[in-house]
Amino acid sequence: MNKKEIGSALRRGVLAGTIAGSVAGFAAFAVAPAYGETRVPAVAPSSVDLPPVPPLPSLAPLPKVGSVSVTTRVSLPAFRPLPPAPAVPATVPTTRAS
Amino acid sequence: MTERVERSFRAMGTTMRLVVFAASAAAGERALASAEARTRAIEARFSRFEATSELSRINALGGSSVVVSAEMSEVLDLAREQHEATGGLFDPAILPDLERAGYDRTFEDIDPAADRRDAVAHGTFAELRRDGRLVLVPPGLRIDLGGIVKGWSADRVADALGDVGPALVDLGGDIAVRGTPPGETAWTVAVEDPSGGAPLAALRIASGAVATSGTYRRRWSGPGGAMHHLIDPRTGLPAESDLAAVVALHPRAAVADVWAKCVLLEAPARRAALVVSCPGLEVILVPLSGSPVGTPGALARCVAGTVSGVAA
Repeated sequence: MNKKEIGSALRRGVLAGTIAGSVAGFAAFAVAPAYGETRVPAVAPSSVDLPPVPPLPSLAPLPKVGSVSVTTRVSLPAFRPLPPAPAVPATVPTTRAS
Repeated sequence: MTERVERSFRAMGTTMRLVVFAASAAAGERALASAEARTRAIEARFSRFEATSELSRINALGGSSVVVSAEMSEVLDLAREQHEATGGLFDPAILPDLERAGYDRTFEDIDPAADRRDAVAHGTFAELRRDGRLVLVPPGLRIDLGGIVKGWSADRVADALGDVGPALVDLGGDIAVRGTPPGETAWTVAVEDPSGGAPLAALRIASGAVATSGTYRRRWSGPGGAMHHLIDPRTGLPAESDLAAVVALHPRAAVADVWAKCVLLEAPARRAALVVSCPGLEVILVPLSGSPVGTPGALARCVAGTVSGVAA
């Protein structure tokens, strides 16, 4: 056998081994039961009575929006005239500019 | 039985009057002496006419920082609060404008013929930087706290006297009361007529304060005509107003002091809105011509009949 023949034989062997290993592994996982697997008993189907769904409200078109005006009122003091001043003794403290 | 004790003295360029009802005359005198000393100490700290005052030292900083006293810090905080609340109408940074108008020395020493310096560009009070008691004064910024210190002092002195008994503090027309005189439901306070006649009104003040601001006092003549001490920060000039005076009533004298000025500065069309923007504020407007008017709360305190049983 020359080098070419030796290389060809090796490639064929590797290919055949790979295919054989893959088939064996797949078969092992497919056939063997899973580790720790438990069986869940089947539940018998039952019927549930749901309450009736209320009817949807009837929809009406939205009213057209006219011009909107917002009025903010600030209560300003109404300045009113002072009552007539009484006679005040000079001893009374007086507020004044200073 | 309580004793009514009273004391008058000159300070802050005006006449101060203190009244207290104390358990004894001696206790009342001690309280008044302490209150007078406190007033003078406040003047020494906040005067812009004393080169050694703390305020003068701050104004001389220009571009550097300093740690201020607790009292100065408190007033600067209050001034900042009121500067913001009044939308800048109250601005202690108008000192350069006030000096340019001629009010660069005590009122009694103003020289009407003195040359006026050119307008100086300056910032607003909002530019004063703070970090607790550390104050950084930008270059060119100089402040006058005269528009708030008298009211603040009235509050502080009234608090101290109020611990002794019912008290009235009259710091040159800024009046604060604590408690009511024995047998009375309120103190009676007269409103001065700017034209010099009989009082315009008598108010019943059971608590809080009343302050008046006007253009009819602290006036002087300058090259540009009549000048006065109420500077409009929007123009840098003495304010032009249709009002001779504004009387403000508020629980705090410092707030009444500030807002009386600001209402006077504000344009007539915006005046009512300004008044309602300050909770608890009631005002009486005294026009240059015409009859005085007031807000409902102020009118409710006006004495309609005879003033009797005057305890002050």
